[in-house]
Amino acid sequence: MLLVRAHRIPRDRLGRPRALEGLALVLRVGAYRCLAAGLFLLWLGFYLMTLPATYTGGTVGWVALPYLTPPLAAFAVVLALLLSLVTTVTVYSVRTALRQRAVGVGVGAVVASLLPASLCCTPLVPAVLAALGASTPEIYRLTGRIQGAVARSEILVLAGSALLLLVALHLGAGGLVGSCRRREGGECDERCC
Amino acid sequence: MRGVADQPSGMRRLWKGEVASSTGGRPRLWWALALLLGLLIAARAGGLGTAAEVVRLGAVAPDLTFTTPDGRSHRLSEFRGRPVLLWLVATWCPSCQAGTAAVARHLPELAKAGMTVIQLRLYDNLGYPGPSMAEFIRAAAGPVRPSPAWVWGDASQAASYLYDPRGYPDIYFLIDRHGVLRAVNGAPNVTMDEILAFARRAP
Repeated sequence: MLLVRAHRIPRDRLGRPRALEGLALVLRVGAYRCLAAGLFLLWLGFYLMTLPATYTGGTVGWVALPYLTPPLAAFAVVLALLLSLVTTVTVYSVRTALRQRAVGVGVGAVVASLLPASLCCTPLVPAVLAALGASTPEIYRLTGRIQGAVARSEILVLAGSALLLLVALHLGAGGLVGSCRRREGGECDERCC
Repeated sequence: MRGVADQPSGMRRLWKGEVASSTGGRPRLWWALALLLGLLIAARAGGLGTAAEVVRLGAVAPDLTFTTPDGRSHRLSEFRGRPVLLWLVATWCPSCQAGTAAVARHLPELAKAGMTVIQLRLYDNLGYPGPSMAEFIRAAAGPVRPSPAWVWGDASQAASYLYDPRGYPDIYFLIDRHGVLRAVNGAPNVTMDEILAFARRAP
């Protein structure tokens, strides 16, 4: 089943997924390699100080670092890597005036990755429920279900956001190659090849 | 021309930006974002301090009852004469777990300052299943026993609703020796310095 699906992924002449071809296209330029590396460090710092906020009641920063567990550290690295690549591909697309389809998915992935830290165990959900007019007994029934479920499925949520970033990268980098070819009727545009 | 039955619903029109285009403005997505921002600001402004609207800072802490794992019932007023950290938690909450470990680490300092920590599981565990208080303490802090410096149990429904009407899963109150509420906050693992400072200088 996986093999069948793998064949559906658009591939280049060498059989590589087209997204890899697009990514190679971007990272061939030294300036974009530097941008990707800088963004990786930036996003890594952001995630290292944000993901453990479930243990600090939503407080983000140096204070959260001691609560970094090995799975959270691994997710921080993976998310930062994917997000830096998505951002670099997006910058490349904007600068070369190509169509960019990954922005929405990328933003969705970032929001999803911040859900556990912002929803559990902060006053956000209870305060929003109260602002919507929920009574104390209703809040007691609802808030635990929402925050408890988020707390228990933190790893799943983070894995989902990593998956979304992969989709964003596939759309962004793959679409980049597709756009180049479409623009020149099958021949590569010199600005992106 | 579309019939009434063919008209998309309000939410769908909002989603598609049709309402906005009919008024000549930007898509109504901006309104949705503004609403979300407003809710976030309300949440921030409400914060933990809203609980103090019912349980007022600077006033005597209303009495409450709780039950310890051995089945005995206690009242908050029994602890008058010592500074008290009254901490309401849900046992599925990761910050409560980290806070419990921090309390265990700093218990000698808290006890030396004469403080009593009363850690209570909120009524119905805030609507989500989790371990009992005894299991929760054992998992987070190891094999510790209740002592005059650290008592734990289950808050009654009335106590939970009174002290935490918004249902925050991790909220604590600092109460001085005269039973007066002095501060409200959350996540003792992050604010332990403030708790220790209060314990040392509490009137």
